[in-house]
Amino acid sequence: MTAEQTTSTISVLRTLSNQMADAVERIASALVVVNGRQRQPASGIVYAQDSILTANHVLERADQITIQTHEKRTLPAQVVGRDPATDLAVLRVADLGLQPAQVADERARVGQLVIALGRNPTDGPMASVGIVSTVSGPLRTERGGIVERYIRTDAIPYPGFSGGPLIDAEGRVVGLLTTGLVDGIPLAIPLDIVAQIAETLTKQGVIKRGYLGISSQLIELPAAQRAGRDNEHGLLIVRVEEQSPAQQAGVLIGDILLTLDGHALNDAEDLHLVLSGDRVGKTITADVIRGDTLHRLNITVGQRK
Amino acid sequence: MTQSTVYSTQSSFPLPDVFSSALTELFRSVQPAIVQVRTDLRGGGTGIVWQNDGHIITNHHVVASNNAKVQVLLSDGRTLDAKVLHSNPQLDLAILKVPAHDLTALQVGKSAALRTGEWVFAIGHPWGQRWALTAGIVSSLSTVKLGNGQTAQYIKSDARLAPGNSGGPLLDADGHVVGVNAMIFGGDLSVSIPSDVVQSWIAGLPRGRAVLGVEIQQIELPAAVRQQLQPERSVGLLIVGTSARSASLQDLLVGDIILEVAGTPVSDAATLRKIVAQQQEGDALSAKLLRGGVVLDTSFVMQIVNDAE
Repeated sequence: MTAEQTTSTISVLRTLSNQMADAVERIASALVVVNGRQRQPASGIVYAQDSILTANHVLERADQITIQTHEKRTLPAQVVGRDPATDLAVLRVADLGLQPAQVADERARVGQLVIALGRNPTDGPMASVGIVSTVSGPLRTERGGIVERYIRTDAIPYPGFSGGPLIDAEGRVVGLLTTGLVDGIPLAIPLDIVAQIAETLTKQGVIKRGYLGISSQLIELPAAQRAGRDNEHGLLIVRVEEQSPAQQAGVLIGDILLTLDGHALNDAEDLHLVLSGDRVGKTITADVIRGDTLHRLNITVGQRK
Repeated sequence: MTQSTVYSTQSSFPLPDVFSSALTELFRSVQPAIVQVRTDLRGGGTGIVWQNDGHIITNHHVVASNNAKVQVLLSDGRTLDAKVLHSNPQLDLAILKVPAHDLTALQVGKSAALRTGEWVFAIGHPWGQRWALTAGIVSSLSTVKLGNGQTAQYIKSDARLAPGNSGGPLLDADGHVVGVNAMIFGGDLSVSIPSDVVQSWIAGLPRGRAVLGVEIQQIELPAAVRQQLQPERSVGLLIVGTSARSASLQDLLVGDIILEVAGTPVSDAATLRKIVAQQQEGDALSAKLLRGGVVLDTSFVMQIVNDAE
């Protein structure tokens, strides 16, 4: 006597299983190995003709980077652009000749079934299943960047997965996997955000971010110190870097920053949003409360290295 | 054996409900074919009823110990004594025999047909739980080097395993056994021996068990002999009958006291049986015997009896 099962219910498991294996197969040709460091190879996603997305932290050297395709071809790759703050990089591989990965047309939702993938040089695609555990943001990364939205999954990120895709059950890319954003925690950057950053990287090679040279913390502005303004909060300056744009503009520790370039600063994120790449090099006004009086300073925005 | 599933009447096709029902049904139907394997010393592992005549597959490392008392616990509560028929440390497989002829066996699947991304399910006794189910997908099929220098394509999956899962089945979405759960790499990557490897191993085993064919009993060794032995011991195995051994073999005689076999001291039948279980027909085993007051280094051959005996 062997164990038998009712075909009507068990075939659902087989059908779903086959579809998931099909999904892996569908993305397989757009999944490459990225060799950018000494020991552990990583992964990358074919994103446009001759273009590969990967994680910045897996490129420990600047040259002699190679990729390996699903047909086991090893090809040299050039770094087109990289952004340590969001841990993304774009590689160009001449005559790659591979179809770009299909992208999911909907944003990831909590509870959705997903598969995390990497490519291993000897064993080929390597997969792990999970669900989307959270979709949240914005996230302040450990290298001074901001990612507006990020995905967390309980799929296991096996070694070599960074730079690889998180796909949905149909083989379409939902995000790019990386452990390089915060404390080595495995996360996925949604592909629409990756695409925006990749476009800038392809054009400029880097992401320009504005830099003032201050450290600040959000405080409640006492009524007596508002100098006629209706701001209830401000950013208390606790540190001014030497030789920085803020120091050159005359910003002092103890100043309370109210507005920058006409934008009220109601929380720390506002500061980051104002210091966008297009303001680099521009001279903007900063309204600060010093003691109980309002001062207007002019700051020339620098570029974050 | 069949069971109807309950569908929600509100949605047209509630896929998560159907998935859950299907998995519950799969578990229920395979559970009788999965056993707990216990030895006196180790925590225990899992075993798979491979044939309904009582042949059980597990890992070598689950049953490898000098104490031969192995027991198998079935999901219906029955506990059966098990004999280790063959045990292979390189493949980490062992085949046991229990005295039962009506067991439910698992259907064997084709491990070579597994695809990355398909569901696989592990059933075993991890974390102090019995008959626990974990689910994951095939992560990759990769080449693993075995102890004897050969290589095999092992199944790597993310179905969670813990030590009590050893020797238990990895099932595919059809409920067929496609692997024997053996190891965990890096704490979170599960490694299973493909069912194809198990099938070839079984096919290559001698049809019967290798045995000595002698009747033995423990005997206290004379003081003069005790001191000669490394490590010192006081008990040996006296051969009291050789009727089950082929008369043409004159290598073991009634009155011989077995002191050591294959370099291992033997002072109880269980240890001797364990060593014999790892041998093949025709193998010659080295032995130290006490014959006529003299310690001899000699060898003798194994012979074959049918499993049914």
